[in-house]
Amino acid sequence: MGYGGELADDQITLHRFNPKDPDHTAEPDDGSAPHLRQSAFLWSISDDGKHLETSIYQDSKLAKLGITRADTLDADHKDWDLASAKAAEVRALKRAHVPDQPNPLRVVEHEYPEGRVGAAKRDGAHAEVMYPKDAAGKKQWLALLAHTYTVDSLY
Amino acid sequence: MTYVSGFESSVAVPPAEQFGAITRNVAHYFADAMTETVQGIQALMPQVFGSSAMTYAIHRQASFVGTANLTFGIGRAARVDLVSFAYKRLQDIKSQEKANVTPEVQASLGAVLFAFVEDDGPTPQLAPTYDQSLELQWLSGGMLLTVSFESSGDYNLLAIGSGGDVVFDHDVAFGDALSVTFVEEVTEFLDEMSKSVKNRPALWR
Repeated sequence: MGYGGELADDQITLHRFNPKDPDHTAEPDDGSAPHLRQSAFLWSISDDGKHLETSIYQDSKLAKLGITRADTLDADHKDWDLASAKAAEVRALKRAHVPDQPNPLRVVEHEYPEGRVGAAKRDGAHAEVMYPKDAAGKKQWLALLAHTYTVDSLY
Repeated sequence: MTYVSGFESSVAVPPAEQFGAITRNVAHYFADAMTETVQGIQALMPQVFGSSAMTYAIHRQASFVGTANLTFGIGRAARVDLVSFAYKRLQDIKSQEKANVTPEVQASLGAVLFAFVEDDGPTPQLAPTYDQSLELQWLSGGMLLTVSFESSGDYNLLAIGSGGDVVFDHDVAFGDALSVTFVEEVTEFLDEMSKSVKNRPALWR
């Protein structure tokens, strides 16, 4: 599977977030684990300028690369944690109450940066969730996405 | 000054000799907090909370529930304190320039808080979004209500049930009134959520 290919439905994807940042999580009033919210996802514009994309990692690839989930947290993400969701769960999100809004989210392969000397091993497990930049209902889809990723703590 | 908070997840019954000091601290807490709270709420919802009669009612309500919290502790919160919590988060977000809170966004936020925050209900939790607007969430018992604001003041209410199903997904144009039927639907959703309230967020004060 090459760049841009859809990940398999059963692929567990991992997303990094800062558990100490109140913008990244909401705390349920029932005392259960925090839930991710939109601000936990940093979006950048894709190379073609048509999509927003946010980084995730493919769990099964980490093992094949001989590294662990903790290795996805570099020095810039010290004390951060991980949340997980299967690719199929992202694709299953629906806004059935809003006509003509099929799920616009893609969960795609994105090894990066390819061929860079000294690149971290985790880059081989890198993938992206992508969203069409000008699509309608962006915040609602991203809220659904955030709710789908559940804390899968390293600690 | 260190205040005694009645809003933590558990409140130990104090020894008799400490009770007087605690009571005084609580009185100071409410005196200081109420000044800020009332000013904040009036700024957020001037059309509703501008009258002196309502201000008096807010003071009475908050003082009563604050006292009740010392006795019963877990999860209790007055409507005014929940709104105040959201207001303080809004101030933090604005002061740190994490969001561009337009007058239209602030007006819509005030309308939503006024319509749906109730005594002992779930906690309204504000955060900025990736595009520097605001997102308001209530979350408990596996249920989620998230309100996303656009800079125009338009907003969307999206509710997810404990089974992961979308319960409602409703767009509102800036300034539009919510139908009675929809307000009832949202209120019932939040009432169901409030049954599972046991704690407040770590930042809760």
